[in-house]
Amino acid sequence: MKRKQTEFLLASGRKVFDLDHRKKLNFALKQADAAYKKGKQQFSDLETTKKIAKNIKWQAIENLHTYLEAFETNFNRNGGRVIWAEDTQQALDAILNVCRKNEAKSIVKSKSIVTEEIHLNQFLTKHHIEILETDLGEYIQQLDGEAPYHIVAPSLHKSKEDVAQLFHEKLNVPPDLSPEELTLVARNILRKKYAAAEIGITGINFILADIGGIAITENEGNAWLSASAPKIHIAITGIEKILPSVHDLNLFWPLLATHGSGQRTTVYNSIYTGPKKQDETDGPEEMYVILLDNRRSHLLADPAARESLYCIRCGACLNVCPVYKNIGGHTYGTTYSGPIGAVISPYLNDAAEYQHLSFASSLCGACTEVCPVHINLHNLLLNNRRNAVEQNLISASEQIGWKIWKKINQHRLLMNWPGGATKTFLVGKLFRQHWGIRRILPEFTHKTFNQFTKNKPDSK
Amino acid sequence: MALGKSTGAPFPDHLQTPFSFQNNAHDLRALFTKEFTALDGQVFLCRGKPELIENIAKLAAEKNWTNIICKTPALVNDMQFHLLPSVNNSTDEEAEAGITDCECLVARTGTVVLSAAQASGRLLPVYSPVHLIIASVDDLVFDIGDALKRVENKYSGQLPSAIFFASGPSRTADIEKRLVLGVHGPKEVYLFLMDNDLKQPKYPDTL
Repeated sequence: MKRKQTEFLLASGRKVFDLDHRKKLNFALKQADAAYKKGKQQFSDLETTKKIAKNIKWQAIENLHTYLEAFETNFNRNGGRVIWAEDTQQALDAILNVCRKNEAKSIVKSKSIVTEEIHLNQFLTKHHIEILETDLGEYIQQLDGEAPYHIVAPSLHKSKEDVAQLFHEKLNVPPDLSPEELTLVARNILRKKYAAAEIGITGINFILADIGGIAITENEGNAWLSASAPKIHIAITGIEKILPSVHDLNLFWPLLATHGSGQRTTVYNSIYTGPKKQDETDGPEEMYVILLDNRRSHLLADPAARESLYCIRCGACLNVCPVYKNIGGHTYGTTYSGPIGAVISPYLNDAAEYQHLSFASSLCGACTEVCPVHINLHNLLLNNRRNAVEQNLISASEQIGWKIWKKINQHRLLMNWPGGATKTFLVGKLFRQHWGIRRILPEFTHKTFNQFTKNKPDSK
Repeated sequence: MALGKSTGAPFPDHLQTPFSFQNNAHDLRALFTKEFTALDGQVFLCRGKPELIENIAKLAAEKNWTNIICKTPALVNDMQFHLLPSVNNSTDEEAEAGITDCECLVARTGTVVLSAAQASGRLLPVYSPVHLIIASVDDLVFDIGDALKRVENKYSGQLPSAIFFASGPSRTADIEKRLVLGVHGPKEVYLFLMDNDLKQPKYPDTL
């Protein structure tokens, strides 16, 4: 068994029996579910809306090179600069270059899962550049030295007491502050940082080809500040975040808000088209957009998996997933967790190390049902399973097991020959390990199927 | 990077289906006020400049503001803010509130549209602890798409470097899903909506 898979099984085993963890997670996800049910009422026909959204993302991804080039041309015209990064190292080098050129000592950053993907914080810290998370949830996680737990709500698994204790330990404030007081503590610390930082780094929710701009969705105002106060703005994202037109936001902003946080619209939705224009009051002198591939082209190249690139990272599939609900975000051991993480991780990384995630699913289809762009997530999980079998990534014992199973099932005599006890023993030998130690294998009956049907008086 | 093999449209029947939210609103002002208020913003309806100044002065007195920043020359001159002693009284850093105009208002979502091309710039609306917006009923549009078209037309293809869609005060639910207002952006947002055609002295739909 591969290292990642072993870790996953051990961590899952621990998490599902951690009642405190379960209580916090269930509480948060119940709130998320209630908000979603309320938020989606803004759509008179959500099903058709999702179909239209999927068509738009299909068009965008099928013509990805055309739209990305149009974006670059238009963004250049606005005075911005596009940096293409094939992999993590190129993205990190590009950011370090901008830092060095401007002798940057401190950076403010808003929420961006892509920066988690390339481990930007660790990299810059190693180069003695301070990088501060400004989203409250991310700030909490950074203080705790822990990765985000959920792509939309990074500190979802922490109770208010956990956060109060953390702030007490790290920031030297009284130990029993309320969420309002804790928020104010973070606000006051971070406000000074926006003005002092030389560079602001943000993520991107949508790349807008027709105007050469980017769109950022948030509730707190930290992305707005990070993109406006420092003299340099660097925005980074994966190439799949493309939309053909700024006018697609009329649909995608409310769609993302409802599925991400159950809102009709988030508090701040901003479009950035470049650095400060000559006659404008303030804003950054330079703006860079880093477009990261990092093996997304592997998803693009596979027509069966391509639709996973339509994802708008709302996190809705995590919230409804019975597996996520039980094992939580960190257990996946990936940047992207939940159903979408299980689908794309084998493509974005070494497939052999991440294929097991696609098997950790009951294929209930809740993810597919909730997805705002109608990605057939549970089909894609099956697709990954097939890939894993075809690429021989399944353990030898399971492969042998299925070979024997197939051989016997193709011959009636072989099926009828051993007794029930022998069959139970044999199947136990072959599949016990894969069946799971907490599940009981069903026992075979003493009679064979043939005997059973022959003895029935009314059988034909 | 051209694709080796293309996939067909997921929903061919809907390729020509346009998306829009249904506009049942006969009164954009009432719709905006309802949505903006639901997001914890507050609307003051003003019949002309004297009432606007009066409303701002009243709020400033009630909140004990000593310094309100306004960087919009048109507003400062035109609206006679010199009648308000607290306007531009000290440095930006010490301001308790900031006043700006706006690009337009989205009624369906209770959204104030701002841009970097306004004299107030990028930072004032988000850095101020309280944001006061002065708008007119002519600024009202139904949806986000209408607002985008209006901004595009105004700047005829030369879009501002930033366009902001702000819907109520800054908020978070990052600590135990508990709603807290005023994380990084303003904690309070007030909109002064000018309607010169108003004849009635009182307007029940404003709050």
